Amino acid sequence: VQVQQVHRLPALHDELRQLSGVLTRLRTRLGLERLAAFALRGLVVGAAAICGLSVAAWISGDRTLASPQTTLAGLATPVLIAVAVALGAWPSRRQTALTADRRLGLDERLGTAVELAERTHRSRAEPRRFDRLQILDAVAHARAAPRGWLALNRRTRTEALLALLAVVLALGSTFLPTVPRPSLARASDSSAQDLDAASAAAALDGSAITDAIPIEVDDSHVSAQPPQSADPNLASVVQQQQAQRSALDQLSAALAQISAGQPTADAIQRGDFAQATDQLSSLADDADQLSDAAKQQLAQALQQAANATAATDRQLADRERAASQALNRGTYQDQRQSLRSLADQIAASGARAAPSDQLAREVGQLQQQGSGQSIGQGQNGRGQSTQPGPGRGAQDPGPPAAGSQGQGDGSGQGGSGAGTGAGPDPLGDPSQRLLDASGQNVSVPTELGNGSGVRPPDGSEDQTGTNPSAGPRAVSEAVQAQQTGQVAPERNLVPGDQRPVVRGYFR
Amino acid sequence: MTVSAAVTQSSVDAAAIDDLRQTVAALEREVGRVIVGQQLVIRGVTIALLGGGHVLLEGLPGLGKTLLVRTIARALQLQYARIQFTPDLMPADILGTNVLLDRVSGGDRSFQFQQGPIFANLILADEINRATPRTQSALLEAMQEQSVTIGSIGHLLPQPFFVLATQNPIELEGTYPLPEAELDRFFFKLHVAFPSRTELAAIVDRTTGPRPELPAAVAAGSRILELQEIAREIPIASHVADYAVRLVLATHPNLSEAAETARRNIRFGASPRAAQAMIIGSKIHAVLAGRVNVSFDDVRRVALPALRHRLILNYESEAKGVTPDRVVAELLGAVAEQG
Repeated sequence: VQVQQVHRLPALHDELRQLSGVLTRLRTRLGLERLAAFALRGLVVGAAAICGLSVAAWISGDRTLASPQTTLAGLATPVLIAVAVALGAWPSRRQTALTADRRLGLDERLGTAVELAERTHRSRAEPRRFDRLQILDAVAHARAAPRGWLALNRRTRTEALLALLAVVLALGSTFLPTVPRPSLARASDSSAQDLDAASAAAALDGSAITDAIPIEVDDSHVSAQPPQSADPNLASVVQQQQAQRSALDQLSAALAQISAGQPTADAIQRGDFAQATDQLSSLADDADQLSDAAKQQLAQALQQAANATAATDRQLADRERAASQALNRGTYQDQRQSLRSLADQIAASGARAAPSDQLAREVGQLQQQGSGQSIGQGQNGRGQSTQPGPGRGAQDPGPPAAGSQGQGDGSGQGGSGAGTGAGPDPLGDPSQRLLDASGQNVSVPTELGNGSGVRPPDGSEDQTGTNPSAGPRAVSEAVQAQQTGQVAPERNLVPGDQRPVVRGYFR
Repeated sequence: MTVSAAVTQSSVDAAAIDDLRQTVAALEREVGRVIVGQQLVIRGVTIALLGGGHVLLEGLPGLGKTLLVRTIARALQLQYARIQFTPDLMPADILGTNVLLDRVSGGDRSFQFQQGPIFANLILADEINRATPRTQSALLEAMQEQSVTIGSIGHLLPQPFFVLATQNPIELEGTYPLPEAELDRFFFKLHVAFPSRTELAAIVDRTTGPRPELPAAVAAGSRILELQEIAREIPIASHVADYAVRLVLATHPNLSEAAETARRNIRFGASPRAAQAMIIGSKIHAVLAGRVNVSFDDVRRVALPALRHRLILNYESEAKGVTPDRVVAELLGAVAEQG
């Protein structure tokens, strides 16, 4: 064998340079795409964090959790972390080549070229026969490949859409803390207050409710008389106390808008006005610790409370309005002074407002007074039906008089009422079904007597009978009787002038 | 000097690649003049020839298997020998034997080796499964070592050396299934499918009219050896070669890399020769596809002919009619490209 000429294969400098140029461009594209993808994911996480903060702020009432600074930090931190991770995981040449092969349909040309280049560079060995050709082929195909996004696939598009939705949701959630929080305790309290108010109103104006709720009582036997005439002073006091209580509840709701005012609100709800005064005074001293957002929210709520209570408690409304203005524009001293003044007013207004239980008892008493009067009038009328007298009740046989043993002002056996016979049917008054003697929200059957059960001396026990038309109610009355221990009287539907005939027949 | 030399070297390499493609194209064109259809079989046989491997052709009688082999031999100007395998065929009938010769001048007698038909470039082992395992095993050394040993003397076979064996899949009576060791020697196993209506019409038209011209020679045997070396130098990335390796590993039901279908259907997986066949075959496939590197698609294209005869199915799968082709297809779906 005669060797004429030996050629050392030249190194792959030019091919490697071209390959590096292509790979650098692809690495930049892929790196930026990954960066964008990571940022999208960070955006989703940030949006979720904002939603969480908004919900937490809404639940806790602490507006600082959803302040603009917190929102910005909650959104930016995950994005920055994601960007840092993407920068740290910047694609290598090999990763870029494999991804480009897959995305651009290069049939593993770039991956093979990168591997050949690395092998040549690592081992300092001479390139093999087709290495150069392969690298040039890979570079040519990579340059001719479509310049699309390497990683913009369906998943990326889905993530982008998800990120967009998450951001919109997060922005929407920032308004959540401004939405009033539902509170079961306050809701029940307000319900009770509504019931109290309704009871009082019913006591004051029973005719409307009588019209609203049909009853199975012959109205012609019931004398109509406004219950206001029973005890106008008591009704007025009850109404005033209810209004006072409502004003304080308005203030409580306003203070509950911020977390710092929650203790005061709770104390007002409990009726512990001394504690409420102390709490609000403490809040006044710490007024400078409140955020601007909290101050604005409290000021707005106090202004609303002032508008709502201006007609009922003018002094309290004035203090609330002053505190609202001070929180909006005043200095710390103004805010402290106004809030302290409001705290003092809470003590004063609270002293005028009766506790809930007392108020309920008074309402119940008011109702029973009206009922007792009506009952007494009916009994009186019935008694005079056998002994004619001057009262107008003589014309009224008065089935409601069956409750002659009812409690009231001691007129169980025929009261000393005027006996006009026009009083409303006690059964038609729903307030008497809603409130018991202690003002609690239970039904009180006003037909049921709770007296000693003494028979009337005139033998009127024979006048009792069963009213077939009152069947359903009789059952409910029986149940109530079992609950209250009272005995339901029977009503006699036999007309008075026919009763001797009936009695003689049975004898 | 460096740049110009590099350009020159690249041009030479590109020319070699182009020469390989043109040779294959010319071979397929000439074979196509005789054989109607069967492009996949022709391409498979071509890849096996360039890869230096042997091919087992399986198909019904009359589909042109023998004609295909004879046409290739004529186009490549290879020495062609046909061995009809029968149950009474003996190894010596294939390999050759020592015969006692009397010198005409008198006196001494000596043994002289008489070469069998296996001493040819292209062997058509027709209906190979009709010979006994003993005779079939006579091909083992020839196919793997490219040599035969008679007595204590080894004899090299002419280069290039190809064995193209055929077997009938339906006439199983009186046949001897090839042992696994024999099957493993085959580079590819190709199924010769029944022609379509159009192809059948073309076959009838071509074989019942004037006799067609014989195929022209497109290359010599030595050129085939050069093309084989070119094909072996095609670069393949490690992750692509790893894909072929993982495919083979996935066929072994007892390995952790086994695919679910392998655990369910395979009793014995493919041998390392399967991976070799896939990688060499994928290199040639890549060149013929116009590339200088191997892609995952090249590996997938050659996986079926390289694996189907190397998978031993278990009894349950055979009873259920599961075919190796189906198992290979499930393997390709189960093994991810990027490991």
